[in-house]
Amino acid sequence: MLRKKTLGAALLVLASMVTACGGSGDDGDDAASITVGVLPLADYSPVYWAEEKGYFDKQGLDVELETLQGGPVGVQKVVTGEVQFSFANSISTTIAAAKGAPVETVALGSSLGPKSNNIYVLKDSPIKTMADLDGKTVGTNTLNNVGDVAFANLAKAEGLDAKPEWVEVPFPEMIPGVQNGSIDAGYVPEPFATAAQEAGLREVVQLVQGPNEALPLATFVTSSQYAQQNPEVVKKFAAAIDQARADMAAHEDDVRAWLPEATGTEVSAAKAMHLPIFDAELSVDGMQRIADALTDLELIDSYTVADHLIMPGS
Amino acid sequence: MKLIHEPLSRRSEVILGIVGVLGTALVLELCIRTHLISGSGLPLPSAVADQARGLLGDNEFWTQITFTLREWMLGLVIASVLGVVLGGLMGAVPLVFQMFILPVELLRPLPSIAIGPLLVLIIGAGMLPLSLTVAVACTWPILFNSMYAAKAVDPIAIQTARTLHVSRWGILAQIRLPAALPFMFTGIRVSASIGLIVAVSAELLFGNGSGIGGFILLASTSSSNLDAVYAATLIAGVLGVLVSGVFAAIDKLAFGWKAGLAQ
Amino acid sequence: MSVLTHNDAGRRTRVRLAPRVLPLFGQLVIRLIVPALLVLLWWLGSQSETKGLFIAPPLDVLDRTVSDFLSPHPGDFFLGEVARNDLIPSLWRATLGFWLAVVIGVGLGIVLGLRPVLAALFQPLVHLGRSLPTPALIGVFFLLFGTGDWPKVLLIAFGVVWPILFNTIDGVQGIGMARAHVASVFKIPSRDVLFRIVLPGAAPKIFAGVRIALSLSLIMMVISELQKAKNGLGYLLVYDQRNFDYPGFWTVLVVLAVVGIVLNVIMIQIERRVLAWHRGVTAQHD
Repeated sequence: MLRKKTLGAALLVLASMVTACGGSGDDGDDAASITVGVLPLADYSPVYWAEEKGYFDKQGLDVELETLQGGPVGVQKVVTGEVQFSFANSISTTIAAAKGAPVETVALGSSLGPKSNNIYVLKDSPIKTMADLDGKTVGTNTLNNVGDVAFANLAKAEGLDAKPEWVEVPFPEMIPGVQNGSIDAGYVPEPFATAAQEAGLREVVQLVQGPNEALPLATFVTSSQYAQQNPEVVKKFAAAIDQARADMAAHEDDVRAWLPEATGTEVSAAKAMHLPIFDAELSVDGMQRIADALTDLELIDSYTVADHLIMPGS
Repeated sequence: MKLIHEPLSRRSEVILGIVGVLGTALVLELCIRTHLISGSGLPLPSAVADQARGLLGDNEFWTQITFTLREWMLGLVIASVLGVVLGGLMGAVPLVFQMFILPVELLRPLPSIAIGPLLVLIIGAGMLPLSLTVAVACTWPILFNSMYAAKAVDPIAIQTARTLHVSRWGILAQIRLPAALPFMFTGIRVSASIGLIVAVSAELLFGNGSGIGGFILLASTSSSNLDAVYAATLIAGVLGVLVSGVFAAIDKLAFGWKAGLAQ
Repeated sequence: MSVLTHNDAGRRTRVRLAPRVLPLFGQLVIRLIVPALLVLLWWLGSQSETKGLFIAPPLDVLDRTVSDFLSPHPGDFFLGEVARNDLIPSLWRATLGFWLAVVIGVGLGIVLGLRPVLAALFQPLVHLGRSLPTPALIGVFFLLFGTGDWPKVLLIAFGVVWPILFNTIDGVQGIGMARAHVASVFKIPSRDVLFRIVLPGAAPKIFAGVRIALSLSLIMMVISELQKAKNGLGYLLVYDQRNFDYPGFWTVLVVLAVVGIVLNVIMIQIERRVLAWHRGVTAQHD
């Protein structure tokens, strides 16, 4: 859904408004220079692994990593061309793409690992099961993201009519928030989940089960425009990520030892936390699961993922 | 019973001020420690002060402080130029006033914080959209003060100059401007304080991690150290107080001569 | 057709447009040139290939504003769904927060203004309080008061009380020792001094502070809803961004501008009535 209208006058007027954007700088296929938006979380760590272990170099890519804040920022930045690739969680991407954002998923960072995303309450809270969360105030870091969508997905699969009231709370405030009674329950992913356990909170729901099992959540995206103009670079980027990911899947202990320096996770947390699944591949089916879940939850209209996915080797 | 009292000496004011600050911190500390105000994650003054000391000794943090200051100054300069020029013209030339009054009145109530994310998307990340957000917030007080100032110039002085055949530009430079400057500067002074708060808030809400606000953003989304967040917030507040003080001093220095005149 | 302008005393008044030099039609054109240019610029921006995604076209925004915020049913007070779900709660919280700040600000300000010792004790804290970046405080209010309306109302009040407090102290202190001595010579009872001398004398400055607080309360209202919110205009700003619903985002901006203008007009009317006897009220004071 690219906007094809370009007015000469518009370009003239906007010349003053537009500053440095989209410096892709890839002239030829020799050593393409790209900027990749990253988030220091274990789920997206394959990009750090790829950089460190030379997978990008092998593909002839000169990569600069730029740390971004979470939320929709990754998608926004690839669309404006500020970065060529970025991390993005597939839920936000699918919603954005369904609303017309020209963004394509090119690679998978990781899928949801078991026990890695949970909802916690106070030890003596009257909330004991998923159904008890109906109408309660539950914190999640951003709306229309893993917390609320995975919950709704799971509730539907179990036939529960549980609808919590979701509020946005940054992860560091989630645990004190539950402890103070500011919120009834809080959703946290790893490594905060381990921290919540250690703080004495009780786990009430494990989000990664049933329909959420191995959901391909952590992905990397690019803009439709860039993909169209630089298909080779996209292929190489995806290949590097895939190789890094496979490597990580085969060396779990090394990954645990490496995570603290790469993502700033605490050493003890890195040893104990539940890792995401690196042994996975980007697939149309996996992504369609997400699109279908979102359609069922009426967050988007029906959506065919295959039109917006760039599979390796295609 | 005496209702209105004599004002205090300067020295007494300073001493009492210090007592006030320390006393409040002490009371807050005791309240939290004895669980009078209960809860986890609350700002314990001693812990926050500790963190603040650490931050102020950290070069990295000083880089952020400089970023915030530079961003704020850029925004203030843009707003000052825009506000003084447009406001002054609007006050002095009725035609300009009629041309611009509608958009000014329509755009003024818009909170700069709301526009900021759009600026970031359009211009890209970095200091510029943040400075522009500051500029948006700061322009209006400067503009309106400049407008009033340009209008309120003593008409007798102007007429006298006219009878002496002073040129239009001469009137502008020698009568209007010096008369209007103090009031314009008051607008700039007010905007300076507003601007700093907006600068930090903008960094915090839609920045990319630079500046004091950016530090607060990173600390509150990835680390679990809430005390660092409180410490940085406190430092931002103190910075604001210092900036207010500096501008007040400049005001007195440069425009002290206007103090005796009625506004 | 009349317009907000300023007479020579610097006071804002409504003035009938007298067709002095140009005919009425010419004056209309002059007033509309710049706004028309801005709308054109807006439209051009929305046509841009990459940036246009974030800049919704003017007509679309207008259309969406009307459909979201207005409705043809008198039963809903002609308010659309978004107006009922988000605008009203936002305004309600802002109003509560504002009045809370007025009561505390004026009350405390009078006490501090009359007692120099107290004023000296708390002056630095007042300066500090009003310099704090309020978005950073959302977390504290959340931990203390949870989610819901109460922490937002308190946050708004906290953000908005400073100009009122500041100006009230300033206004009360500025009453002057001359009047104080006169009052004690004539043995005027304290209560009369307060209500007949102090308050009326401080009123212009208090009002200036209250007016600043009013426009500030709109900003604080938005800030208080950027996190830990379930409804409201600020909440919509965040939510629409998450969902890539930029037309919706722009409608919120339009509504914010409209609300701000309405508040301003109301304030001017009230001020004119209450301070009719006092001229020269300016926005000069902080």
